Amino acid sequence: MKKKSLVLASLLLTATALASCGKTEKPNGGLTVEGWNVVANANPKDDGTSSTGEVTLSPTTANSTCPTTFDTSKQYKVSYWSTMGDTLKSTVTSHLKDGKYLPDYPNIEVELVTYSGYTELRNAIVTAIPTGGYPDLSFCYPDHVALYNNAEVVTHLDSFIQSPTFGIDSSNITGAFYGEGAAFGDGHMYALPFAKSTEVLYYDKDFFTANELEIPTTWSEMWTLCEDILAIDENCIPLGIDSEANLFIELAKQYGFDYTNTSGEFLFDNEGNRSFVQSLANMYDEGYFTTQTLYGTYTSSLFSSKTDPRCYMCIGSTGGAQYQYSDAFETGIAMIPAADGGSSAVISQGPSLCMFDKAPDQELASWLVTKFLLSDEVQIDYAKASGYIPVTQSAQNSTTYQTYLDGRTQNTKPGVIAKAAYQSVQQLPYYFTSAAFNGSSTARDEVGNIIVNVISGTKSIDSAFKNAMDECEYAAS
Amino acid sequence: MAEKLSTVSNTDLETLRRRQKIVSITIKVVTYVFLVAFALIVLFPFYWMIISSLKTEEEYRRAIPTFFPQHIVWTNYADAVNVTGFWRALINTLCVGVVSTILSIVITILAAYAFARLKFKGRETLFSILLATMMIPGELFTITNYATVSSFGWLDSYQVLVVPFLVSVFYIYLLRQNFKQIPDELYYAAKVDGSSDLKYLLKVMIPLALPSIISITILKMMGAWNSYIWCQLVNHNKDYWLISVWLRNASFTASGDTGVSSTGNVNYPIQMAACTIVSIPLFLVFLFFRKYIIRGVSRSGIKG
Amino acid sequence: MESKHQWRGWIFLAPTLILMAVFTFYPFFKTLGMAFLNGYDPLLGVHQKFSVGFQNFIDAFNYPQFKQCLQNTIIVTIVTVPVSTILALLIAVALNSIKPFQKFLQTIFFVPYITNTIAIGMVFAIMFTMIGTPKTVTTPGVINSILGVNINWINIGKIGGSRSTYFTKMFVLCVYIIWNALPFKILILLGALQSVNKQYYDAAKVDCASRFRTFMKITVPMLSPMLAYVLITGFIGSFKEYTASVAIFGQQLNTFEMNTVVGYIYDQIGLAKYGRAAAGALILFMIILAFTIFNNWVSSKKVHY
Repeated sequence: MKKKSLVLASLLLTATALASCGKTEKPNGGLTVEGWNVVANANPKDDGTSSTGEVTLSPTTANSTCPTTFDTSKQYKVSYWSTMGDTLKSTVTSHLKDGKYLPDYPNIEVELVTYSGYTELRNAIVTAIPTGGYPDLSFCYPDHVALYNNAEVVTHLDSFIQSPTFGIDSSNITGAFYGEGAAFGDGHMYALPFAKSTEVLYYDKDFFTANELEIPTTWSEMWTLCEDILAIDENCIPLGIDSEANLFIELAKQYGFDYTNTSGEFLFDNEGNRSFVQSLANMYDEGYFTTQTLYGTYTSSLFSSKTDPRCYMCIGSTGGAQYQYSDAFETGIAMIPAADGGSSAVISQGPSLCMFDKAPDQELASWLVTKFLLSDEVQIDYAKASGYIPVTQSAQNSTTYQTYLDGRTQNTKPGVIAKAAYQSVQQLPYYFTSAAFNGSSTARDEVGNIIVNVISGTKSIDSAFKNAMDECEYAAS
Repeated sequence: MAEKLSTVSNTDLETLRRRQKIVSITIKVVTYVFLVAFALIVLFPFYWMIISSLKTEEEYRRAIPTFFPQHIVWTNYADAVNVTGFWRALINTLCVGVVSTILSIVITILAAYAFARLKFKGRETLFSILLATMMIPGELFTITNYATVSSFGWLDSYQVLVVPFLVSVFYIYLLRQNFKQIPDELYYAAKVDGSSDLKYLLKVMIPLALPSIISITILKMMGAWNSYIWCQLVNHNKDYWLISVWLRNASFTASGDTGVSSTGNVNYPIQMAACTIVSIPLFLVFLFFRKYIIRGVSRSGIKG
Repeated sequence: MESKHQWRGWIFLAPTLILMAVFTFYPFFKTLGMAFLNGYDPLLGVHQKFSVGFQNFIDAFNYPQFKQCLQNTIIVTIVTVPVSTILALLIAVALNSIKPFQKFLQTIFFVPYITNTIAIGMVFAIMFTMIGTPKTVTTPGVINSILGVNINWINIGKIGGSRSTYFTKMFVLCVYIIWNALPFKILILLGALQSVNKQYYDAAKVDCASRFRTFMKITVPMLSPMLAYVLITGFIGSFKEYTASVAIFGQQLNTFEMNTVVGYIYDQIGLAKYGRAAAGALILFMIILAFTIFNNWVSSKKVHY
């Protein structure tokens, strides 16, 4: 009896729910429902064009411009969301007055909020946007900006950069990095680089010297070398690769196969890419390498590991150089292999900064924090602590930073970090980035999955590529 | 049947009895073997967790596993609690657990009392509606609740771990049944004495239903200790993590050099030490409150 | 009762009703609404209106990942619920038939109930984890050592020439879920057994009925309400399975092909695809509702009260 009434009651609930969806009949006859969430502080910036259906990155006309004066008597609080770990966070706060206030503008308080990773940060912002709880300033990757821009909440930086009173010298920022912030198809600046890293090849120098091994410069040299290393130590995995996605994107770039393009098309399902994925699977079967997902942990740990299995080489980010240090051997650092007979190319990574739409004076406060983060002192200290390289010429060329790079000859943890930074400066001409658009991060995740799925034998080449394309289209739709 | 029995001779009866005895002993033996074997299977993961947590990395990694550590290494525990975020997550979990349990118990008692004793229009209908919500998977609420708490600005906070889960229809139901068993006479006697409802609730109902309330308290605390998914969803800032989220996300590195975002080889003994640490409070609670826990859990069965 | 007392009930219920209004009733209706807004996405919702329809459901069923999640959930359910119920029944009957150590063994069988799913899931993971290179094995893992085999159960890469398969991963997941589900079922069934009137058994003994016959003809029917109860709660629980999978395989469940419907919902929330998340949750709700109704229907016919 009771159970029956339960079922009945829940059915009733369902029925009333269906009936109570707030339907509104529009004058033009189409049945639509009001956007479910209303932004608490939404700026009225409908530029007149219809906003149904298409996802566009159209520039917002009412985007605020940089004010000419700043009220230093008013208190401001700038929430700054990032992925900085405790060490890096304290590097930044050490430059703030009382760990909170901007040195030049003590009326601006910086509120640091830390997320455990870029995905977490992105999700937090995405969910905060509809409710207006988004930060003033944040770490970002270009594709995050493209995503946030669906809600048109990312501030154009142009007028702030060019402001005669508060602006910065844009030529001071390394050109390749600076360009990323404007790569959204409408010519506006949406982001400024903050710190940059790339991928390098770490190797056990002592092992290489003892066995008279050469550092591989091309992928075919790499695989031959792996075979040789296995002959020396059969319990090792010669090469560890930290990021499958980077591997895919770098190989596609080096060999000139399509990946994605700036108009947001997914082009990675092609013969060229399929062939190198197949050959990677063969190399994996030979036991030549492993990757982070396949092994279940960052391969840098295999590189510095004292227990079997270990790696003698590792392709990883310069941002993680500290984990490639071992007290058991000297860490050598070189460029990652290039395409056979093809070109060298290394992915450019690292966080940028973007600002979010707020009142103009609040945006100016955020901008002043941005300027602070780009100042030489912060840039240099951050670079020294992390292994990322500074994005400004002035910081890169400063005596402090150069002296720091000179420390690379020592085989200590800071020495390895300096060595990685030095190597990333050396390979600056080979940096590239892939197109950023809404969905590009899915493409990135999915090409990584292709490698994992094919190599692990979970999926065939065909179904792995098909699945990845489906995912991309599903996410973008 | 009776007729048959009367016709068999004494010796036949003797053999029959003996045979029956053999059969019943065999069955006893088989039963015990079965139970003990299963008990060992059930306990094995705990055993393996504890002995692994006491091994050196080298011993754990051996090709032929040892079933008792050759050198007991207590430092794994020190390394585990030194992994970034442990203490914070522990304190968070305890605070969130205590606060949410207290509030939840108060709310549950009030509601159960209203449904059991107070008379008002629509009481039974309302109660049926509440019971009906128990059939709806929580995930259906989660989506909107996520948007709701984020519009409250509650992402990365403590209140987000407490407030949405204060009401448990199931516990209201449980306690209501308990309150209902308390004879009406007591209530009317109290009314004649001029006691207010609140006073009656505090002086009579709660003491009488105390065992159930204790059961609910313990189960609620255990729930707080074990909760994972919601916290993982709403709190990305590790300052607000609960212990399970910490456990799943922390990296247990070889050197004990630490940090959730850091890289490093998984040191399984340290990881197992952390798992043990997270499990021990539950065992202790079980040891001391076994009766209440079993009572609470089985109550959910009998009155289903 | 007198009308002046009416308000008391509402005051006592106020906290419950306010909280439920915000966190139960409102979300129920709103989630239903979102499920039927085509492609509902809060980011676009800032500027866009959505049309009403079944697009979110169509998307879900056209989406391989969702089909995978649904498949996993169904397999977990049809494997773990019957197996754990039968095992629990056998253990409960065995426990009921012994005297010495009954309490002790009963306590042991209850222990898995009071564990942290994440912590013990991680223990299961290491018991089945192999360490090694694609060609060699350093540490086979304790289960392999006990069984004397070299099977890659849950690692996604190749180790010692062996790869995990969908079957091996699902096997480990199911073993963990069954292990986890046993204590509750044993407790309930044992409680029910102990309350079965002894006279029935005495009658059976007099009848010289075989033990199996007694079991099938007396025990099972007498237990049927409680069996129905553990079955239904088991079905609902396993349809909502997610934490066990995360505990064993970590957070990249899609890579492991071990994600579940609840996992799909959380993934979609994380991507701010609320419409799709809502559709997933509604599908889950419908399945659970169907099961409950079906169960009620069956038990109204078969269950012996």
